[in-house]
Amino acid sequence: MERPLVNSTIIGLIALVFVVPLAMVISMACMSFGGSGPNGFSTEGYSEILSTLRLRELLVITTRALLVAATATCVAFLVSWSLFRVGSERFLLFFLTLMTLPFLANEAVRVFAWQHVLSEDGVFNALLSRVAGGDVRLFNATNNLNVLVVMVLNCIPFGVFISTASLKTVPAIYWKVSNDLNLSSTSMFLKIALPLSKVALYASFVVTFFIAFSLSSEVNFLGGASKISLRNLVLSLMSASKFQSIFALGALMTLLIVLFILAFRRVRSSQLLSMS
Amino acid sequence: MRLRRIILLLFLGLLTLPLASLFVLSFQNVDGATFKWYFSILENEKFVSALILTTLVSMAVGAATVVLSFVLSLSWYDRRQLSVVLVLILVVGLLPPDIFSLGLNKFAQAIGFRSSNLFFLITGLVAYTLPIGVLLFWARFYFIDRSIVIAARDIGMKGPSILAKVILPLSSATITACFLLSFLLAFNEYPRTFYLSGSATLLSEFLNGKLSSGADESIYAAGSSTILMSVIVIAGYVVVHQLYARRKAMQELQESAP
Repeated sequence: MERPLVNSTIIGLIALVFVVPLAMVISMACMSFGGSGPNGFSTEGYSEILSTLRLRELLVITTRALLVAATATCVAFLVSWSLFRVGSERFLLFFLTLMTLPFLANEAVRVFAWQHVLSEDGVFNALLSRVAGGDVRLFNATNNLNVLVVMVLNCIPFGVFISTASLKTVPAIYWKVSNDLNLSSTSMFLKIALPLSKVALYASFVVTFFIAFSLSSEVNFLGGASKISLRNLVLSLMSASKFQSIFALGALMTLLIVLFILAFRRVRSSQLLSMS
Repeated sequence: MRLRRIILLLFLGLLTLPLASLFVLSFQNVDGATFKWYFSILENEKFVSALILTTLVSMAVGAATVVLSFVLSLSWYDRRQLSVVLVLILVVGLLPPDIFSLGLNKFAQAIGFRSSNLFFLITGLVAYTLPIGVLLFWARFYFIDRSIVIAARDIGMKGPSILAKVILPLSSATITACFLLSFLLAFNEYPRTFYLSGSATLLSEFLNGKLSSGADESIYAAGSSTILMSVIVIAGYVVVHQLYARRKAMQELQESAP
């Protein structure tokens, strides 16, 4: 059974095509660039990216991504649990299909659309003003709330897909036994769904973190005082011809992804152990 | 149960409300609700040529993704290959698009091109859609009983005929889904297009430029037309999915008949 259906050389060749840009990123991170291109070994890229100014920018991007990932993971899991409890396959298909729509829309169009809804005279502030009975301007282009809300809402679909797939693959016997024991919905959530979805929650957090880290149109369109985003950082390094710093950042992120993969294996094996 | 459904529908409304509002705005002008902005944007030559080029590029990306992700997803049946492909799709999928695209751009320059071109753009877009394609196929393979492949081997079938006679027919709906999803993702992708399109202008670049400058109101129609495209493709997929499910149910009924 474990005999491969496809030759490993073919898989290796396809992988090579996509590994080449990665290899370029990692190797060029250690080069200095002259007028015509790279010329020699240098650690300039790393020292620039680790300078106080760049570290401050990266800290803002990372903190925002962590906040977005944590919120999106929690909300997505609750949405998946509700979907799972509703139980209807038709409703699930309808919900997941419609939920993919914003995710499949053009990034600029999607954020531009949010700009209208979250503007000072937009729907959200109008609703809040009506509820609070005054002139509420909570959502505006001068704070980071618009950026955070839209980033979270953009990341939730990824978390919902991962968590729903995880809940769907929990062996049916768990739900049958919990029904036989007359467990309440909350107990089922806390004692079965949450512990058995440890891997999904971890995967959901990691995926949404990296997506949120890369999202930049939200910052450019929806404001926030600082306008700090990954794309603006990359463009500012490009305009200063500091390509090696961009690639140094890429190399560090590749390392981070590999570390997350190794940690994922640990989480997965610990969950399998606890299940057995 | 009803309350849960209502909450979920409200949440869905929240996610889709901005796109719906943009769609409504695209019909509004001083003369009332008309198609004025749509006619106006269709007269814009840059928009039309960007739309045609983007459609062609996205179709190429869709086709390449189906082939490559199908081949890579066959690693499902071999533990060692599975680990390699999993690491590959995670690294390629999670690395920020700005950095990956610049790496590809530098590679193009390193092998003698002055700047990126459509070939590198398609490669960059396939790198974006490939992880999703592979995951789609793996999700399908999860539900294909492994004993079917074992039985095929036991009756003497070789790898290629197992692929052609067992795996491919069982994956036909996934192939359609993979093509449509890759098409839409490539159609609407901005960061990779921005770094890799070279001298060509694709729709997402056109839209980003226009939306950033807020030049004229016909941009509402341009934005809405991309949403409409996504809706049509998703609706098309749902119809195909339903037809496939119905055909499968009919086949099972015929097989179980005495």
